[in-house]
Amino acid sequence: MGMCYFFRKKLLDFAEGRLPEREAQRLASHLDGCPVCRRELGDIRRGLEASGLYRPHEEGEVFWKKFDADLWSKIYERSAHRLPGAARRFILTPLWKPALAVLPLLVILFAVVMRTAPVLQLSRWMPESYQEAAVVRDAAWLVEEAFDEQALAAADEDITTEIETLYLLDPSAIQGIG
Amino acid sequence: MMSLIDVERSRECVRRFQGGEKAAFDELVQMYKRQAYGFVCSLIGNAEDAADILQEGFLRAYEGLARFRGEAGFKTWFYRILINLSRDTLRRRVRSRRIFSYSLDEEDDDRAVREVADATLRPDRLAQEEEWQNILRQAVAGLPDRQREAFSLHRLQGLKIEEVARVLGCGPATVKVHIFRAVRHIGRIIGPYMREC
Ligand SMILES: [Zn+2]
Repeated sequence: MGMCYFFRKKLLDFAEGRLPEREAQRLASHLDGCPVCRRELGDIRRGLEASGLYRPHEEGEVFWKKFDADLWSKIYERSAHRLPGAARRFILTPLWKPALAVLPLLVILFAVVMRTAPVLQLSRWMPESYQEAAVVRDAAWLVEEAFDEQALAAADEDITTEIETLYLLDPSAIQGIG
Repeated sequence: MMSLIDVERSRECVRRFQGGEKAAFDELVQMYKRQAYGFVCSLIGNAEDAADILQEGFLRAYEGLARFRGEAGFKTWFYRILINLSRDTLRRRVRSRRIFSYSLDEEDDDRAVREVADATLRPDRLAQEEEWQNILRQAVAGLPDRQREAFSLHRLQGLKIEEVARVLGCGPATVKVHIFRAVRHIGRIIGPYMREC
């Protein structure tokens, strides 16, 4: 009986025929003289037989169609609920992290370039066609300016003539204005 | 048991999903849903909550698959999710209504035999297949958590001892002990009816 503990551990392998021959023979001879282990082996054999008869639950196609539809609607529903989290994850993905880190550097670089551009005379490196276009743009701008100034001077002249005429007609009115 | 083709196919689906192809998840669902449904039913003892547990399991898999590293394989990982969800459901059930009136303690097998018989069995109807399946399912459901999980994974799902150990997160020797006890317990409960049949 003292050996029962060691033999019992091997009963399952014995019942399934997985025990090496030598060990199986030793166990068999123990079983001959031990009713307790024999009863245990009987339970195990019945347990194995019963588990072989176990029929898993099965469902039909209608069940599985509904299952799939329900599952995907739940997946979409939950994905929609978690959008802020998803957006956060998107921003923090490894691809975006270095890009976000570089962004302030790019801003600083841009500011520096804009400040130093006139000093460096960047136009020197422009292609000729760009230079010509720039000259034409500048000329057009100068002509426009000249026209504006002329118009302004003409308007000033008109006002002076008007004031002079008014003064001749009624000097007190002009004094009143100051 | 999982064939190498299944393992490779599921690995490929996981890779595609992680690469942004969300439709690859549906392939995983189609590959495992029936098998996993049977597994969940065997853990919780009936089909009542099985569909909900399975859906929740797939949902969690969908949400966690992006972070899944794949060392253990999808099935191992997914079955672990299902085991945890089933345990939660059983705990809730036990709290709300004590459906399994007999003890889960393995020392009380004899009492379990008597109480299962009193509660559900009519010897004259034992020959009926459905009745027989119910007894068997109830015997499996009456096992302590670890024994039921190991038994179901190994005997009903056909996983190897090493695979069961990976799912349950314990050693193969421990798995063997759980299975031994589970088989013995079922044999003791089912025994009287098998002799009668
Ligand atoms: Zn013995």
